[in-house]
Amino acid sequence: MAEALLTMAGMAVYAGAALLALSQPAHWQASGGKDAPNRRQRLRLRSVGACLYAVAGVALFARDEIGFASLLCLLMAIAGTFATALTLALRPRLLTSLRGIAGSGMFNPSSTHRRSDTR
Amino acid sequence: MRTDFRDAMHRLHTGVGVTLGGLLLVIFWMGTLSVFDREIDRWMMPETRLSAPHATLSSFDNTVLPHVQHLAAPGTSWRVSLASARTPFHTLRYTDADGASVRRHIDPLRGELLDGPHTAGASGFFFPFHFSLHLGTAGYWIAGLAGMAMLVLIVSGVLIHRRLLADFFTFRPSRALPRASLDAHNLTGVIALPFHFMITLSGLVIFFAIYFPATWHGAYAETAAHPQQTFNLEAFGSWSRPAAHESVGNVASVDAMIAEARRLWGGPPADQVRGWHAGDAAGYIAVRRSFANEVRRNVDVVFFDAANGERLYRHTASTVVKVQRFLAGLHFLQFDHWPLRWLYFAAGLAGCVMIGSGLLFWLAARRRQSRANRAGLHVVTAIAVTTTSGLMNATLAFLVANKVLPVTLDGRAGTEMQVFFIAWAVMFAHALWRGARAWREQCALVAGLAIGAATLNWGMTGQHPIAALQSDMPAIAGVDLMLLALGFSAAAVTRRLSRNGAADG
Repeated sequence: MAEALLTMAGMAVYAGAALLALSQPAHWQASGGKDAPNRRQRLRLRSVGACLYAVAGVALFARDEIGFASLLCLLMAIAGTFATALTLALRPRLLTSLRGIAGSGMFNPSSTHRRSDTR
Repeated sequence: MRTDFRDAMHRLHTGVGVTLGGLLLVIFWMGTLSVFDREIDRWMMPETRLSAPHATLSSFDNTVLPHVQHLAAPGTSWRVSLASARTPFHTLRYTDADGASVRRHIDPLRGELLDGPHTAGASGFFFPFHFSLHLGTAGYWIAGLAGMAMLVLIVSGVLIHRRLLADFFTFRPSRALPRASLDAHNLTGVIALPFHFMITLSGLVIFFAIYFPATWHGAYAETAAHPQQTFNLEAFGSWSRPAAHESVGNVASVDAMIAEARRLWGGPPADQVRGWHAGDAAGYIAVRRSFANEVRRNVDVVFFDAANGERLYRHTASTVVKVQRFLAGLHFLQFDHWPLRWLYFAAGLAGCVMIGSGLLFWLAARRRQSRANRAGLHVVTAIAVTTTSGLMNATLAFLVANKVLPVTLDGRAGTEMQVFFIAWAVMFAHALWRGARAWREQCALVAGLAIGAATLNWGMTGQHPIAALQSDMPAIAGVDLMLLALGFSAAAVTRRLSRNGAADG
């Protein structure tokens, strides 16, 4: 159980950091997206990213007592962010599938193109 | 933010970083290695590669006390760190009849003294290097100064960063050296900033009584005859009583003392037993509570009369001290939590990369300036090489010496340390001679020494990583695998430096 919670938290912080990174135009484009995410997409990426950080926090506090859990939250957030930065530096296309979470960007005139590009 | 303020912070960051970067890198490197000091100890001391002890330790009275009574000189103090999952042996420290401090290991199951140790190990060399630089009191102050400088660097580094959020995830290793090294510096500095701040601040808080003696002196100077002793008693439970200078033959059951202490604490195990005035009628024994299962490095300790086992004094920390001990626990990392241990190690390495890449960026940027002082640049390059690849080579030379020096050599532990410092001095001379080419040559040496050290361990003990894992020795396998990872990484860096000649500028 402890290992499962830790693994889940690790995956959540990595995915959360990746979504936050994809909300920035440079990383969105590096992962294969065209133009930049519109306001709605940025909001969705950041909201889901923040939620994943929260999920990781809940998993870690469920796993350990408060002292260890606080330290784990801090250090796993750092590790997840660092792993995302390395992914963007070396294999940014690995994050392509995560761009789908941003949705179609309904109010963006170019959203149709973006949607077809990301799939 | 006003440009002139940012420029001032930039000059401060650069000045402090270039001046103290090398020292900070040494402190960070030694601290990072100390995260796994017990594991490196076992790698360096093959005689201690015992199986993990049972959950319940054998009787202290039967396995340890006879050795204490036999070895510790009358009237002296002794200390036994009890076996645990990380250290499956008891460690006895005592003063012998010649007045020398001695360290011996005891098999907790059979109660036999183990051979050696023939080395100071990581816990006796890397760990004190981290906070005292092996320079005594002066070293504490130098390390403290470096810690303060680190805080200045962290704050000024944030203030001068123009695109903190925009560049948050940015790392472009394929770009030219100044850009790539600045990205690495910013990435490790910004992402791991909370860790760097926490670890630096907690390091300073541990030694607050040295760096800021007014804290206790001001509180106790007028109310106590001996301010420091009174403070140490009230804060940390440093209870004591003078010797009676009257010998007694027997020692009460230490097992009973440990059991009584555990009852008072509500169950947690003890991790250390310490005695004062061995064999004296006023001798006393302290049992300290383990901090394996909590972040806080508690100071719960119970004192007993050595002769009759009567409880003399029980200490529990006050609230303020508990806060200090929590911060100390954050830094000391003595708890048993493997995910956190690995994350601390990774974050420590990130700190080393941050400092090293900062120095590298400064050098690369300076090299591009035609008006740069070439002689000064040459010296700073040599210092940067010595405190990065040179420091790694000195560390690896220490580990290789541990494997090749004969066990029968007198003063072997001291010789290993001398090898470290001689190797480091040679690396500095080499860097002065070869200039920027030393990066590549010393990286190649790191690769050779790291792979060589792992191979020597296999050759001398028969335990390659797979055999170590099969023998339930993950500590040995872990150290070997880290050495191999370092070796192959250094080889890759050497290959890249040779290919593009980037370091030859």
